[in-house]
Amino acid sequence: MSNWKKMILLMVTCFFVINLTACWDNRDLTEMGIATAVGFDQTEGGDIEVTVQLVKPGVIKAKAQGSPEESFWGVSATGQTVFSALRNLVTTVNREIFLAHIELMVIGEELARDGIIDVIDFFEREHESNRRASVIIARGIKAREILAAKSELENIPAMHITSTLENNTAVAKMVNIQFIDLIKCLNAPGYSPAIGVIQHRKREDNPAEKLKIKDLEVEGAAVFKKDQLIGWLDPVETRGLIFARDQVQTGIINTDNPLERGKKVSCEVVRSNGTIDVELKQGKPLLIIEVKAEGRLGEQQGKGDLTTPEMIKKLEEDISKVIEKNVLTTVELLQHKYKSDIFGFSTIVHRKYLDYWNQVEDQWDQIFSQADVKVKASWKMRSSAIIKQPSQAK
Amino acid sequence: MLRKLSRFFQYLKLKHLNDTNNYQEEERIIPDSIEVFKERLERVFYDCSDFSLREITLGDETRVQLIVAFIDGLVDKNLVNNDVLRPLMIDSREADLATHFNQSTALKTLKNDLLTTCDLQEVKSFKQLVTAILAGDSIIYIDGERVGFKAGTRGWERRGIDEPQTEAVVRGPREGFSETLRTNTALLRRKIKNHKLKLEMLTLGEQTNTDICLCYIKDLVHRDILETVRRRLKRIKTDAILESGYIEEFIEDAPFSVFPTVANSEKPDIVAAKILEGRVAILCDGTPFVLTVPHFFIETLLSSEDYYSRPFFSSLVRILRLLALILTTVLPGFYVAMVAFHQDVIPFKLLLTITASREGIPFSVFTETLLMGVTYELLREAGVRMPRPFGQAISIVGALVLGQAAVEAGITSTPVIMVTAITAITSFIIPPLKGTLPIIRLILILVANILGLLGMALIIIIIFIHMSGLRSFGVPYLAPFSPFTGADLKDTLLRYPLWAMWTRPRFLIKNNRNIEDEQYRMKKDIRTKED
Repeated sequence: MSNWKKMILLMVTCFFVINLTACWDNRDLTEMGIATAVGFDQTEGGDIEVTVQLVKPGVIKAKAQGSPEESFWGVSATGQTVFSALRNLVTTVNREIFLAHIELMVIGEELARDGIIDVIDFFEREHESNRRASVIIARGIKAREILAAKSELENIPAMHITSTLENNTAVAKMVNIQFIDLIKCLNAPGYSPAIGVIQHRKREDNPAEKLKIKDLEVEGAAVFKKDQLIGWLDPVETRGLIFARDQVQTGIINTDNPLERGKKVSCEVVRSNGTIDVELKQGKPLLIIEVKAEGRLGEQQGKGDLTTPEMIKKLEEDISKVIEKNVLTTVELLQHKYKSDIFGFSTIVHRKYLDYWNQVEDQWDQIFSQADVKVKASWKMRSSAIIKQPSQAK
Repeated sequence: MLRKLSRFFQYLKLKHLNDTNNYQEEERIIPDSIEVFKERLERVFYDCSDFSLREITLGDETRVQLIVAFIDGLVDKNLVNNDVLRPLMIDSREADLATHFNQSTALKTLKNDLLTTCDLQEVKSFKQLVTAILAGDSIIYIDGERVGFKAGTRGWERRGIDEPQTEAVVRGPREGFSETLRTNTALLRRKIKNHKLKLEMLTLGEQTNTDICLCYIKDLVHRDILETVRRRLKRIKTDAILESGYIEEFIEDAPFSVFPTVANSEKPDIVAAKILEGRVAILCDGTPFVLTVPHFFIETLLSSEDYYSRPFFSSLVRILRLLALILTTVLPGFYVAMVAFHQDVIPFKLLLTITASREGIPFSVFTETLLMGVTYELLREAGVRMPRPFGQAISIVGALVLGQAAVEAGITSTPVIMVTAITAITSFIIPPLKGTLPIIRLILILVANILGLLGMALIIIIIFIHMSGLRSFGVPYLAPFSPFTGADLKDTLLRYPLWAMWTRPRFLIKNNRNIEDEQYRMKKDIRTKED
C-alpha cells in the first residue's frame, strides 16, 4: 500500500471515529443541574407528574460552614409522557437536567396501580441514565412529597433513602431492587417484580407540618402482577420472600428459648443461601424452596446453657422451622391472595421444561397458585459470640 | 555510465573543497628556511594577540636557529618554561654540544637529548603545526628542517570535577564530567581499566575545530551500530559544535519526533555502564554532557542508583516512575475529559465536590486547566532562568499565583490546582523526557476538550504507533517491549538481582562471543568484496 493510500485510510478512520461517537457535546459542570432522584406521580387528569431532586453543590460546600440553606431542590412538572414532563421542567430550571447520577426512583402508588411500564421506558432508552438506581414505591403518599422531604443526617435526601435501602441487609425486611433488575424482571416471562416500599411512619399524619424523612420508613414490599401494583407484603412476609430469593445477607431471627418458657432467643444470620427450583411431577409443577442458612447466637433471654450439643441441635431445628414457616407463609399468601409469581419460578420452568412452559404460558398465574410447595430450611449454628451462658443475678 | 558521471561529480566536489580550503597544497609543506617559516606563521596568526613566538639560537660554534611558538593562555607556562625553553636555553649550555652538534644533527639532539617534555611528536605538515598551536601545544621549529616538533604543554584554566547538578544521587559516585575532553576520557578510563576501551578522536566544526571522542568497548559494541555512528559523525558539516546537543541534532534518527533518540548524561558511572552494555559514547570538548547511543525509551525510566541499591526497592521505584510518567502525561487531559464529557463516570460524591468547587468559576474547565498549566510552565522557566537573588520573590509570587489566592479570587477551582501540582511534581521524576512530555500533555488537553476520552485514546494510540516506528541507530526505540524480547525484560520495570542479569542486552550485542563476531566480520568482508 502506498503512503497516500495509508494516509487516506487513516483520515477516513479518524473521520468515522470522530463522527460515530455518542457523547459529542462538551458541557460544563456548572451548566448542569445534577439530579439525584426522580419521582413519578399520576395527576388527576391522567398525566404524569415528574419530580426531580436537584442538588445544589455550592450549598453543600457552604453547609460545612453552617449555611442554613437547603442543599437540594425538589421541582416538579407535568406532561403526557415522562420525556415531555422532563422537558417542561426547563420552564422552571435554568440548567440542563443531568440524569446520569440518579440514585433513586420513587413511583407513586396510584401510578403503580395503573402500571409502571410506561414511565420506565424513557429511562431505559436514555443513554444518560443510571441503571443502577434503586426503585421504590411510595405507599399512600405522593412521590413529589418524598422528594421534597428533608433529611436529618444527609445533605441529599435521596442518599438517605438509598443508604437505608442498602442497609436492608442488616434487617432483611425490605426489598432493594435496582432499575436494571426491574427491567430484567419485567422482561422475564411470568415473572412479576416486588419493589421496596416507603410510607409514613406514624399512621396519623399531620398535614400542617412539612414532611421530613424522619417521618418515613422503608419497610416491606409492593407486590406486582406484571407491571401493576396489586398489594403489599408486611416486613416478615418480605423476609420470607428474600430468603427464597437469596437476598438475605444478615438479619435477626427470633425463636423461643427451649429452656425457659416465654423467653426469646435471637440469632443473627451470617450467611444464607436460598435456591428455588421447580420439578414437574405427573404434569403438575412442584415448587421447591431450599434455604441453607448459618448464623450465630446473638442474644438469649432467660437462663440456661444453650451451647451444649443437644441444645444447639434443638435450636438449629427450631430456627429452621421458623424460616420454613416464614417462607411458606409468604408463598401461600402470594399463591392464594395475589396469584403473582414474584419468586421467579416461571423462569425456572421456562428454562427447564420449555415444552410445558409453552403450553401453560398463558395461565401460569393460575397454575402457580395451585401448585404444590415444598420448603426446606436448614440452620447451622456457628457460635454463641464471646460468651456461652448468660449472666445470672446471684 | 552512471558510475563515470558520479565520479565526475565527486571529482568536481572534491576540487571545489580543495579550492576553498584555507591552506593551499604547497602551504602544507613546512618550509626549510626559518625566515619563510616565521613569515608564514605570522601571516597565519596575524592579529592574534594571544599568539607568542620565540626565537632561540642554539650551539656555540655552529649556531642553529630555533622557533618556539604557542598560544598564550592555552599552554601551561610552567611546562613551557621548564620543559621547552629551559632545556634549550640553559641546559644546553651545560651539555657538551660543541663536539658533535651541527645543523645536521640538531633534530636528533633536540629530540633525544634536550627536550624533556613527556609528549613530543614530530610533525611533517604545516597545517598540523597550526592545529597543534591552536590546541594548546607548543611547536619547535629548527632552521633548515622540513619537520617540526609538537610538545604537549596544554594547560588552561578549568573547572574541577564537581558533583553534577542535574543527576543527583543519594548513593553512588558524586563526580561529574567537566568541560575538558581529556579529563572526561580519563574519568571513563578510570572506570573501565581495559585496553579494549577505545577512544577514537575526530574533529568537527569547520570554524571551531572541536575535538570529539568516540568511546566504546571493542568487543562489546555492535559493528553496525559503531559504523552508523562513525558515518553520521563524518557527514556533519557545520561551522560550530559548541555543545554535544549540536551533534545530537545532526545524528539523531528522527529529527521531527518529539522523542529523543540520543541519550545524554553528566556522570561517568552512567556513561561507563552504557558503554559496558555495548553502546557508543560521544564525548565533546567543552561540555560535560556526554551522548550515548543507541537510546531506548525504557532508559528514561531508569536511574544509575537502581543498580546501587537492592533490587526490591529499585523495582518499586521503577514502577513508581512509570506511574509518574503516566500521570504527568495524561492527568490534565483526563481531568478535562472527565469534567467536560464524562460526568456520568465520576463517582457521585466526587462529582459533587468538583461541581461545588467549580461553581462561580468564570472559565471552562479547559481554559482553566490550560491557564494553570501555562502558568506553571512559566514559573518553571522563570525558576531556571532567573538570577539567583530573585529566587525568593519568584517562589512567593508563584505560590500565590498557583495557590490559595487564585482560588479565593475565584479564577480557578481547587481540583485544577491539585491536577497542576501533581503534574508538576511528577514531571520532575523523568528528566530525560522534559522536552517531550509538556508537548504531549498540551496535545492531550486540547484533544480532551474536543473529543473527550475518545480523543485521548486516539492520540495515545497514535503516539504509540509513532514510538514503535522509531529507531535509534538501527535499534527499535521500544525494545525490549516491542519487538518483545523476554530475556531483556530483566532490566526494565523490574530490576532483577545483578547475579540474574547474566546476558547482555540482545538488541545491542547480537553476538556475545568474540569468535562469532570474527566470523561475522569475515562474512561481511566477503560480502562487501562481492558487492
